[in-house]
Amino acid sequence: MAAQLKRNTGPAFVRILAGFANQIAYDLYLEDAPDQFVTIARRQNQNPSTYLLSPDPRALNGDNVLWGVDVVSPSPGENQAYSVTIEIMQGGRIVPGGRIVDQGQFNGVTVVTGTIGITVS
Amino acid sequence: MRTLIAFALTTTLLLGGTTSLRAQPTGLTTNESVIIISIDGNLLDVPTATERDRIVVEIPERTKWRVLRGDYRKGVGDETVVLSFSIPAGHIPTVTRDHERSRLLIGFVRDGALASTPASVTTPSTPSAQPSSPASARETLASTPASVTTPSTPSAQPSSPASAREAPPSNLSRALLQRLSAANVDLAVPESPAFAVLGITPQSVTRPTSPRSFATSLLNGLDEKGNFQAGLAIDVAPYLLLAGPALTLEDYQRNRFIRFLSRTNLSLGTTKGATDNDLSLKLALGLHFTLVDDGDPRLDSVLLADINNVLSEQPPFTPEEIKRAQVLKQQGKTDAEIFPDRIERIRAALEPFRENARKRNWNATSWVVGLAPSWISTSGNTDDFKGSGGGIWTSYAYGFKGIKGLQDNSQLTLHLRYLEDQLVPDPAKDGHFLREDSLLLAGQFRGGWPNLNVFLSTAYIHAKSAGHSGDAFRPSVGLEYQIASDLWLNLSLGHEFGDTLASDRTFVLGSFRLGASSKPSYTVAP
Repeated sequence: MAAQLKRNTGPAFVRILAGFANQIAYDLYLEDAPDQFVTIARRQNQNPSTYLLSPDPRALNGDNVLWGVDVVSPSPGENQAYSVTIEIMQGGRIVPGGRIVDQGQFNGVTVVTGTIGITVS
Repeated sequence: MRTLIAFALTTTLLLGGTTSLRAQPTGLTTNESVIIISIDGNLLDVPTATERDRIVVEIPERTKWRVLRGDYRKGVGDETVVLSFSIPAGHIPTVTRDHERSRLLIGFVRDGALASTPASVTTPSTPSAQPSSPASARETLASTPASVTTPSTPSAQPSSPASAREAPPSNLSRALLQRLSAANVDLAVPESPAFAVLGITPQSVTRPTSPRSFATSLLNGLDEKGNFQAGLAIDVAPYLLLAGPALTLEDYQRNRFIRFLSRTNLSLGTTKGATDNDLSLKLALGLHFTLVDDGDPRLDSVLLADINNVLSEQPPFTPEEIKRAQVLKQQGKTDAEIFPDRIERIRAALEPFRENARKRNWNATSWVVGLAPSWISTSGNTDDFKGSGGGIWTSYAYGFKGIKGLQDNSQLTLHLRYLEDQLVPDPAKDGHFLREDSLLLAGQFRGGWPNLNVFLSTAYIHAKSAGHSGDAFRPSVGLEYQIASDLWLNLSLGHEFGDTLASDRTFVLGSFRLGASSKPSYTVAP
């Protein structure tokens, strides 16, 4: 799955949101060439938060966005719910294929990682 | 957890009765030995049932367990391990599920002779094991209950009115006293009122996390003709089901109404008649509201700051390990399986802060309400459902916030419970049940100071069964006073009376406790 940007619709952003009133710390990277990474966010906890990927979407064609998120529930109980949503946005909207939701149950602490590719047309 | 190495000499003085002297391990305050089973899994998946002179515990086959105390027989059921324990003659088992320590505790109360048992007998001695506070409802925000409070009656409790029988007054009084005893065990509102009003402990509860899975769960609970099937057990927080993925911590903190909605749980359960010939089906719908929760961890700014600190101190994910994780996930692994060490490290780092938060909030003010109407269909068809009573519970715990001398170490809990048209086990005859309406009012004050702990509790129950009605009332007071650095004096005094009892009874319990620790045996403040 890839997020489909348009070359003339303006800058592209990535938005991260953790649901179920949980706390998070996350790292975001842009892979702008094979195994070459640009750090977008490191150990951030702002939720939700939006980061600029590039003012020129054409530069993002073929790139990947990577994320690693530590999720903690303030409550210590078992079988709680978590959700981490990553959205690639352009022109104030989520682009086609640009939304990934990782949701499940956990016992107070978990990790969420993922990647999403970007294409530009 | 106390590390006290001690022994207790308990002298029970029944006014007008007998006197006994016995050694008793500290922390176990029942007058008989308590069975303790450690279970590495969800305690709600471990039903108990009474069979003649034994209490039976069914543990799912794959669940790790260990009997820490008690002699048992082991058998094998249908994908379960079946443990059975002997019930001492003339006693009734009481089951407590300690979710924090993953332990099932089975105690025994003398049948019809509760006068020898102080009101505090089954009250856990530390707040961590304290199930009697509505604040226990705050443990989870998600759709899953931290604990389900259900009667310790057989899971196969019949729902057919045919099995109910007329209760003579003597049975009613005995039943009342059992309820009264149970009232001392638990002043909490059941997290899943539907299961409580049906008298069931479902082996598996479906907890859908999305609207689609909720719909699927409901459909799975219907047969091809649209009739409810027995064994349905769903527990869900409707608001979180719909809005949970977009609910940030900030939104939750800012909006009181969102907090109310997030804490509201809905439970749905069905149970069938006990015999093959009994086609009846009982359905209950439960609602659990937390109206006030001053101890909500999500509002505890100190805890939240501690969590943020722990997370910010973790090493960042490297892009390489994120990429490697994606390869492993394509092979079927989950993030939790790929990063177990990281998860465990964070969990361990958080533990002391969670413990501090628990200590800060153990007596925070809270107010919880539970409702559960129920319906019965004698034919088992959904079209035939008719109203069949239900239950209402409410518990208010007051933490004396802002009152010097009390705010850190005292709690007042008030509890009301009304159950209508409920089938309860007949203490006089195994396998028989009584149909009963009952009202329970209970209150408890617990306070603790360096050298003195006190509790006052009272419970009143009114029950009506098959044309008979009765009342029972039991106030009691207890204190624990430190006489010397390692010597504590425990005293309990109570009285029980009611119009169905043969005579009023007063009980006094006194004990000295010697130990290598200067801590009290039932510390009120952590």
